[in-house]
Amino acid sequence: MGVAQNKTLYLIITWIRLFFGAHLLFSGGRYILTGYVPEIPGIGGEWAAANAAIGLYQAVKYIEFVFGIMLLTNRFVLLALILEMPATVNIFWLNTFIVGMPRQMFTGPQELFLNGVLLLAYSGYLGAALKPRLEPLWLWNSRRAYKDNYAEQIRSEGGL
Amino acid sequence: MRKTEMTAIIACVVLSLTVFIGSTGLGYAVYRPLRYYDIFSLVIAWSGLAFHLWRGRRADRGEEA
Repeated sequence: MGVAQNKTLYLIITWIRLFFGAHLLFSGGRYILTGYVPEIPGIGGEWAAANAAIGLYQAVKYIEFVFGIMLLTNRFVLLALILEMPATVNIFWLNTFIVGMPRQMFTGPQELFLNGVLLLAYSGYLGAALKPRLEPLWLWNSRRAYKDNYAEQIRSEGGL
Repeated sequence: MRKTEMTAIIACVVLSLTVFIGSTGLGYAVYRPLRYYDIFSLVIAWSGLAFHLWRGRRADRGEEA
């Protein structure tokens, strides 16, 4: 890919990163400051209420706030995108298939699009780690993975 | 403005319009004014893009000087 096309995509991905970051920051921040919970009709609402009853809804909002800051400050972006994905899939499923009202048919896929496109844009780093045969390796030994043929090398050394 | 930047800006305008239509329901659901939620996100995204463009231009000028 040419440098020019790369630059264009870089700017578009930056826009999407900032949009999604602000989106998460607002969503989390609004809950933290005001306790706002959107009214969701039907079984989707019951599911959200059950989540709130066991504290999961609150936890998701607080972590959304943190992930929003991470995306906006461009720090640990890939980590934020990976950890946000379960919440994104929940929102996508709930809005698109369970609530299924016209506007939710947009906001559900929008969430998956934002998180998915960004994850795809940053997935080159993951590609280097996604190998069919990996031995266990502690995070604090990760320097051993910053080498060519690291998987084979670590396997020959017995991992960890 | 260079073509690369112009293309990116056009793409971001398309994304913004999609957000606008999706959030307001324009043309497919009962119209609802754009929420502060979306306004906040759009303002941050566009301000950040403007900053990136300005910084990129300044860096290019620095290389020329």
